[in-house]
Order: sequence, then structure tokens, then C-alpha cells
Amino acid sequence: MNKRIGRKMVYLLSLMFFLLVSGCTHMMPVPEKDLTCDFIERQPYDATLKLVLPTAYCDYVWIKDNGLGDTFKMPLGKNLCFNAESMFKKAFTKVITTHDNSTIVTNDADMAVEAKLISFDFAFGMTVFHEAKQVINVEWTMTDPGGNIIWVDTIQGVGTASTGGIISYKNDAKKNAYKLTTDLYKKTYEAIIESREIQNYVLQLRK
Amino acid sequence: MRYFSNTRKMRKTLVFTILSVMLVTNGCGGKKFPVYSVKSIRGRENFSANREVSIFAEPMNKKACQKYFGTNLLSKNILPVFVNIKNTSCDKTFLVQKSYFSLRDISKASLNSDNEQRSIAAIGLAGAIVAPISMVLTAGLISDSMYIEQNVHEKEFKRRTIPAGEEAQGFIYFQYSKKEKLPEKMTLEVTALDIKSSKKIKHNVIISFKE
Repeated sequence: MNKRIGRKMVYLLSLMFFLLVSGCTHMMPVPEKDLTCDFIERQPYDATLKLVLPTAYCDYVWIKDNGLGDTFKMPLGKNLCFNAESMFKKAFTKVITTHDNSTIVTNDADMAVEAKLISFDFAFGMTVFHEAKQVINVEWTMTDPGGNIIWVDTIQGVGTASTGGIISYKNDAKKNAYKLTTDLYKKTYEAIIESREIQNYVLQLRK
Repeated sequence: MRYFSNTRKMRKTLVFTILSVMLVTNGCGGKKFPVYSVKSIRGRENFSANREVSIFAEPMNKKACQKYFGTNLLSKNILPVFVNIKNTSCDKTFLVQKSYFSLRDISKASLNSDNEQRSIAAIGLAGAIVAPISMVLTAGLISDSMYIEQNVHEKEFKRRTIPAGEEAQGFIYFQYSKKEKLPEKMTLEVTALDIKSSKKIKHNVIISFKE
């Protein structure tokens, strides 16, 4: 009888030890599709824009270790890059995209804009019923062909969705990332269209 | 019911159900922090204006830190200062970023010359502030630090150009030496870069700090 209890204890302790030391990598998916957000589209600027999306921006992967052996990964960069191009094509008549930030200033465009990822945070909710929040800060620097600053702004995108349970957390994180990207580019579009600095610069170009 | 509570099977089911619910609902802490807002800044203490820029600054004490950041940042030698800067010029556009802010001890200045003023250096990167906070909080709930970190980033003053008539606001985090005690009166200096002429305009405001 004591032998059986002893064996059970060994199994239980082994299991507990395994649970404590084991961990895994959770790959969080990101939306692959183009954003279908309802931008209040306005007349695009009649100008050629060089869109500089550095590799650091396009290859960005969020990695978080929860301290219990689990690592969460979210390859957000590809989606950010893809949708940046779509959004800027709505704001300017011609967009030339490059990933090389060493050649920002060239004569083939009226102006250049460069993206810089300042921060990305993903905080989970307390329980499955609480919401998880994603916040991103992207800095945009627009320069003329001479390298002079036209406009600088840091746009904050926020996405909230359910934290999700064991089965649904990945899908919920994906929904959250979609909301985050939509919010980021909607705000960026509005900031660009409403910017007096850009409006004045484009106006001077056409004179 | 009595039949069920007496059976070993039911007891096992009950334990299993409770454990399952605990596992599903167990997670990390979630926190919400209020947004700092000021109704009217003109004419208030900690406000200063000239023909080009106006600036309002409010340092956070222990109570305010707890309210807006969920942790006492002062205990980590980090002073958050809320800043509102307005472009009061007619046609200029200014570039403002966190590294353009500096904090000085005014009480020291009244005794010594300007050159001997002590300067508290601004934290260069937003990321730099996160590490110590996260390390301190790992003893508590893990996601508390995640929320605090996120909130610190959300509230930070962001680099941007400010056209004539417009304003920008946010928190600047200043790190000071462990040996130093924060003075009651400080001078916050801001440099605004005129993007057309590349001329730097300096402006400052005297701020009061009450622990």
C-alpha cells in the first residue's frame, strides 16, 4: 500500500516539476489582409512621395517572455509595412516605396517620409473575460529633397479585444492586431491630410 | 445532492471543475490608469509664455504617481513632469522632442552662478525607463508591470512638429541621482527648433514640487 502511495507521489512530483520547468513559444498570428478601414477619403496630394519603410520596421517581431517559461511572439512588421503602403497610396497620387533608409533624399520624388517604430506594448487582461490591449507608437518624419524637415509626428495606435481563453487567445490577439493597425493608419492618414505643413509644402510645389 | 457529496466520484469532479475554472480564469492583472488633464493652464502657477511659445509644466508627487502610473516612480528616482507646449508664433513651425527638455535646481541657482546650476538629465529613451520598473515589479503580478510599461509609453511626450497656434502635451520622465533630494523649485527649460530657419528657441518655466 505504502509502495503504491510512494509511486504516486513520485509521479505527482515529476509532473509538478515538468510543469514548472517546461515552457513553450506561442506564435501569435497577425492579419494578412489589406485593411478595409473606412477612411474618410479626401483628395490625395498631387505629389510624388518616397515612402521609406526600413527593414527594422518591416521585420519587427514582438517577443515577450512571461517569466514562467513561455515566450510570446508576434511578427507584426510585415503587416505594418504592407498597410503603410496602402494607406500612403490613398494620401498621395504617386508613392515610391523603398526599404533602404540611406537614400531618403533623391530627386525622383517631391518629398520623402520615413517610419520609425518607437514602442509596441501588448498587455493581457486579468481573466479571459477582461480585455487585452495593444499600443503602438510610430514616428513619421517627412523631408524635402534637400533633407529639410517638413513635418514630424508620432502617431499612437490602440487595439483592444478579449484576452481569450486557452483555445481562442491567438485568434483574439489577431483581432486585436487588426484593430491596432486600423487605428494607427486611420490616425496617420488623418494627420497627414490635415497637416498644414504638408498642405503648404504641396501648394508651393505647384506654384 | 447528499448522494453526490458523499461519493468520491462527485468530489473528484468538483475538484477538477474548480481547478479548470481557476486555470482558465487565472491570468495576469489588468489595470486602467486615468488620463491626466488640465482644464485651463493660462495664468496658473507653473506657466510661462512669450511671443513664440507658451509652456505649462506640472511635476508629479508620490500620490499623483500612484494615481496616473500605478506605481511610485519617485522611489525609483524618476520624476514624471506633465508638459503642455503651445506654439504662439504667427507663422513658425517648431520641432519639439523629449531630449530638448532639461530640469535645473533653482534654489542652487539663487546662491551660485548659472554655471554651477545642477542639471538633472532627461532619460534619453523611453525603453530606458521600462527596465527598472519591470524588474521591481516582477515580485508582484507579472502583467502589472506590462500595464505600467504600456501606460508609461502611452503618456510619454512624443516627438512632433507644432504649427502656429497648435499645442502638444505629454509626460517627460527625468531620472535623477539617488543621492539627490528633489528641490521645491526647479526650472524646466525647453528648446524648440524652428524648422524653416533651423534656429533654436529656448524658453523656461519655474515649477514647484511638493512631496
